[in-house]
Amino acid sequence: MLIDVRNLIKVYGLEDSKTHALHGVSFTIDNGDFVAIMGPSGSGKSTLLHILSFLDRPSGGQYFFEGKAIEDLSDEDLARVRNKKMGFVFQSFNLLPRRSVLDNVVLPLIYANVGQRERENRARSLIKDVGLEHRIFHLSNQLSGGEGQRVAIARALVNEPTVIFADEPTGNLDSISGRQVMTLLEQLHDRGHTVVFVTHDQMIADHAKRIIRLRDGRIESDSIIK
Amino acid sequence: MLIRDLARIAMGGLTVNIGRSMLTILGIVIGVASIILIVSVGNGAQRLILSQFEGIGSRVLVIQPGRQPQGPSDFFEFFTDSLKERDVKALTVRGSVPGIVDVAPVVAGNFSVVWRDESKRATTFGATDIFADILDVSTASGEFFTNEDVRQRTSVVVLGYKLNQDIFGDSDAIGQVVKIKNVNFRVGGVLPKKGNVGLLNVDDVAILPYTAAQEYLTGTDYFQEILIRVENEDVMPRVEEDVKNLLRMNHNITDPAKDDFHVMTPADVASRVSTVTGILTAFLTAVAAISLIVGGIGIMNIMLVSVSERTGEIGLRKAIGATNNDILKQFLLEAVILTASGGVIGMILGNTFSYVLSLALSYFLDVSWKFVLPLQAMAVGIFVSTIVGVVFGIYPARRASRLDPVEALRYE
Repeated sequence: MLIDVRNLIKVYGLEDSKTHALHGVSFTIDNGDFVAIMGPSGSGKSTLLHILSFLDRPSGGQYFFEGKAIEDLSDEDLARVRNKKMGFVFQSFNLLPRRSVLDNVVLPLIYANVGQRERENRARSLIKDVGLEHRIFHLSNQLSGGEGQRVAIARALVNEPTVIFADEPTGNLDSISGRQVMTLLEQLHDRGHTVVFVTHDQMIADHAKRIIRLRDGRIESDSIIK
Repeated sequence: MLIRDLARIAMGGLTVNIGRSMLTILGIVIGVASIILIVSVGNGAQRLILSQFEGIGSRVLVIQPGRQPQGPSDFFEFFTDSLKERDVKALTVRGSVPGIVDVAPVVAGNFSVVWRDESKRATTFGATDIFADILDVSTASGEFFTNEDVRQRTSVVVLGYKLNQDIFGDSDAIGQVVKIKNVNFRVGGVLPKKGNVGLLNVDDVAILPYTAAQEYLTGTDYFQEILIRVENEDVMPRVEEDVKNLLRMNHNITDPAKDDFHVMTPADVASRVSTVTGILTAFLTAVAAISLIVGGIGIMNIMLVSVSERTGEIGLRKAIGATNNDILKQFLLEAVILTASGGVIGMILGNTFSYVLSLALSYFLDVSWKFVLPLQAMAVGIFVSTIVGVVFGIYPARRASRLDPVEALRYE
């Protein structure tokens, strides 16, 4: 089991103006799962993804990642796990501006202390996989939206993570680019990667094998798609 | 994270906005450049002064009226009339102080030297025939006055190079009669171009027998200085003591604290001048150092702006595995690279200015001003500018490292 959350609670704000983003959420995700987390805005889906991906800590409940409790890990440990085991794809791509595609893709490997030659080799082969080898030295701001998100996916994969988290990965893309990105994520899943993504779009969610629906910080439904 | 990668990331952060980076370091550049310039020029001035004192020779003692000056309030001690003919006589008596070669009393004044329509103010020295030896000059034309002239109170004058040029231009001055304080003096000799000896510009002076100077010009019977030439450097300390004792006896002084004269060597004067220029240099350097602090504050401001502009970048770096420490190091290193390169540029500029200035001073003031590469100041400049980067970079860097990744990622 990769992810095991039990009665997860997240509260924002101080004493008098507390908002409950998550009201006791429990589920597990196995290695190789392809999960969509759905829900209207304010349902807590982004909050859940942030906690699952170690960007935020829960206010209550338990979270075991590969059997280890998050509360036992320091911020440094979380950074290390994010670097080695997790890949991130964001709605607005979050590429470093005015840097080349190659520079952007190698970034996680720099923090993993991978030597320069190996960094470039790995990045080049992934850039090729996402079909951007002709753009390798282009600056990130010269790319189209779809290309930008493919660079981001290459970056997410470069450190061979166990799980890929994507936050509205098609949110800023036209439908064609969106479909390309989802196809890429499907291929990753087919190759055995675990993929967890957040979306409010049913069409996009339908690419996944399992949909967890949230409403008001609670799980409304958790269904396997055949 | 590897150091090389850290450096590359920091450099990347700076070169993305190279124009702003350059403007940011301007304060540091100016600060370090001024420090280098001040120290270099200060050292040059000091060296120049010291070299001029070397011209007097190390075998000369200078007796001045008044007690050893302890501070500015003792300035008026110089006007004491304690050094008189009898002192010169006592010192001149063979064997009174073994080791003395020559004794040269000096009557200083400031008078206009007039020839026809030309009038020029000059420092006048009433002296003896050996004054030329002590200044280490011999006349370019004509002759220096003799001991006999001194005894006879002959109204003869020897003109410095520039004074002669100003009054007579290209015409021959020897044998001409000039008026000083309405008394006729025959021009006996003209000195060659010499420049400074000690603090005195020999080219601007008029030298005449001290007896004539006392009689016709100052109307006094005392001396502003008595110069003593000794056999060699080794006997200097003993001669100095003997001279003091002799003068005390002459002046009926039993308590050395009540001396009405003091004895100096050119080295004393030089070291006193060095102290003054040293203090001045240190003071100006301190003023310039303030601009380094101001420059540091400028860097801190820009780094804070940069941190908030790059919040998204910081969020991303954290998401993909940068620790707080990695982010801290990145921004701290950016600040240090900024200030240190400002220091290097400032150092190059400061030395360039100083070098150009040394050429200009040598050319226009006609002195042998030597450019001094201030190695110590350069080391301090680089060190301090680096420290400024650390001190003023730490706050923005901490701020960057403590950003919440979720908040930072949301930033557009």
